[in-house]
Amino acid sequence: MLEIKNLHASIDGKPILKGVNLRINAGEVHAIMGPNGSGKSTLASIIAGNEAYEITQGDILFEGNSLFDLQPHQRAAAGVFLAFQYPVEIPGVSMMNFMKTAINEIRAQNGLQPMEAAAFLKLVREKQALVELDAKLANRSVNQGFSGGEKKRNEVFQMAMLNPTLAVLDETDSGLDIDALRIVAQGVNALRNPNNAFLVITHYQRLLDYIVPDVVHVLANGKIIKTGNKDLALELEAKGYDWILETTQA
Amino acid sequence: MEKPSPMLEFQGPADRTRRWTGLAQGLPNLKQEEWKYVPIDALLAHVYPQSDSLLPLNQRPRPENLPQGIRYLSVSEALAEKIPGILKALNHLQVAHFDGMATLFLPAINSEATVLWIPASDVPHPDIALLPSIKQPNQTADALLVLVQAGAHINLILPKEAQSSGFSFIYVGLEDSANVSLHRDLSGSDAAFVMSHLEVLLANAAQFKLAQYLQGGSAQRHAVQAHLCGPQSVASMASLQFAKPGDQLHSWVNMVHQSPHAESHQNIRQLALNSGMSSFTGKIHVALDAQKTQAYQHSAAMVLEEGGRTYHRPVLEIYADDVKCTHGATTGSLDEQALFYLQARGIPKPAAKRLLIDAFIEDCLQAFHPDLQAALRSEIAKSLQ
Ligand SMILES: Nc1ncnc2c1ncn2[C@@H]1O[C@H](COP(=O)(O)OP(=O)(O)O)[C@@H](O)[C@H]1O
Ligand SMILES: [Mg+2]
Repeated sequence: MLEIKNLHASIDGKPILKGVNLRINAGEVHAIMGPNGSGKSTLASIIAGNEAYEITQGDILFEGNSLFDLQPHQRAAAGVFLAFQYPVEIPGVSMMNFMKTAINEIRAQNGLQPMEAAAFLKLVREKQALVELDAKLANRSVNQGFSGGEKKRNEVFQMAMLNPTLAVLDETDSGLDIDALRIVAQGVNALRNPNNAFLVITHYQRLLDYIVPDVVHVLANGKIIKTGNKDLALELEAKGYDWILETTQA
Repeated sequence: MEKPSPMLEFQGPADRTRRWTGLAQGLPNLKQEEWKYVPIDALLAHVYPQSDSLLPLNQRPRPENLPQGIRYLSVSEALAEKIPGILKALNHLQVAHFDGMATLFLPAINSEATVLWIPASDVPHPDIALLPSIKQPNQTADALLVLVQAGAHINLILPKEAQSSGFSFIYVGLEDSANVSLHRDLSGSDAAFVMSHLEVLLANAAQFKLAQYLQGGSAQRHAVQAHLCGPQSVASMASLQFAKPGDQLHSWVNMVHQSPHAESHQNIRQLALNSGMSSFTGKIHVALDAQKTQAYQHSAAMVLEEGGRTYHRPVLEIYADDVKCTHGATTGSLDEQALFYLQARGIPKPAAKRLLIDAFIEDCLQAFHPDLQAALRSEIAKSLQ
């Protein structure tokens, strides 16, 4: 489904990704772990189409086609979703208007009619319940006045609304207590099926107790330095990043 | 040297060139928007090239289907009939301090304005849409005196079509507890200079609301001066200014608190496209004995394209010591992170920009009459395509 080939990227001339290779098949959940500043968010932003980064080498194929031929909104319509590490506050744009516009713009790009108002409201209620998002947040401006945890849950809510083929979750767990973590995981697990895939970026092993990954990668200094199964996450948790940096350099 | 053409021919795209000539002669520009420092003679000679002295005012045509009880007459008729409020209006115009062009037209306003008289009523009057003034070749301005009796409640609408080129003057006198909303679309045609002065006088517990939209034309300059003369009077204005390439929009406001316990609000949104300029000068004047005044001013600007310019000038003159006055101004451009967030959810960039711009102006748009609001929304949408 997703194939990242020798991806190099930089910002303001400073190289950040230095040859990332990654292959995710339908039905899989991959986790990327790594120290702060290793390039995890950069990779996620580039998949979603953030133009702030310069791609100096490599390609990203999504269902066989290069993502670089698509603008961000076209990637969303093709089924790519990014849960932002830092969700953006947008004063004056209501959550409902935002979601309705997003769903209908995606439908339009896929040749579908706008969703009926009743069907939309039903979907909203269903997905709000899934992530236990307070219904009154829907009347607020996007992310405005949301607590840290509410912002993260709101990302998962949006993911559930748009039902993507590939969802990238960028540290959706950070800053969450155990309850919130469980809710977020519940949202993700409810969406898992053989036709979609998840790329879960996390700093801690904790989330992976709830969202069990098929493959775990360690990203350090712009490169994937180790790939393993879920035990790698546990080992990393026990021994720390220094351990892996040392063993791979050796 | 080529002979300047008269007022009526002073229209069309060629005016842009003329405007720049005018600016060179000392007409108001961004750096010296303070009208009182502008040599008005130069302006007059430019806008009304054939006038050595003031020319007659235009009579505004009578609105269609004037509601029951509302009268439309000339100043001399109003004086002859001793229409309540007319002497107060004329007296105010004698003594009030004006800035800019209003001063020059005062003698003519006194004798040649049109009077719209709104009687007291238990229920709000139906809305009135004012008609465009039809200028004769040698007429320079038009003027309207709106006299609103105690307790009367009315919405006045000046659609785009009702704007005059040149100078227009509107006086609104509100007696106790009168309630008036004035909604005006000041979209410029291609007329070169569009200028106006709105003078408002509020008695006890009177409420005046203004919502105005400035856009297009080439140079526009609109002054608003409200005198809060009675306790519990409230004056509020919303001004939405959308400067397109080559436009110059200036609004000037003076909220004059003469009485204690009065309230004023100024809410301004400015948008500027490439080479468009918009400015706002907002004054709050609180007289020595106007204690417990509450005055609020907020101006926010968004520069949508490189080369667009916006300016805010808050001016506070506060002589009383027990008052609450707040003012704030912000200038920014479209938030790139918010744009990316919206795009990442499937919304194409132009639609994402529209969402952000709509959000920015929504608060201000809400102040407009629903009919005008709908027209403005589609007009703005069209301009942003
Ligand atoms: N917009 C940016 N401008 C400058 N440097 C950036 C920007 N985004 C990321 N970086 C740099 O790129 C590196 C990787 O950052 P990031 O991808 O956010 O790491 P992670 O998500 O793994 O913590 C860091 O050194 C960070 O400072
Ligand atoms: Mg990060």
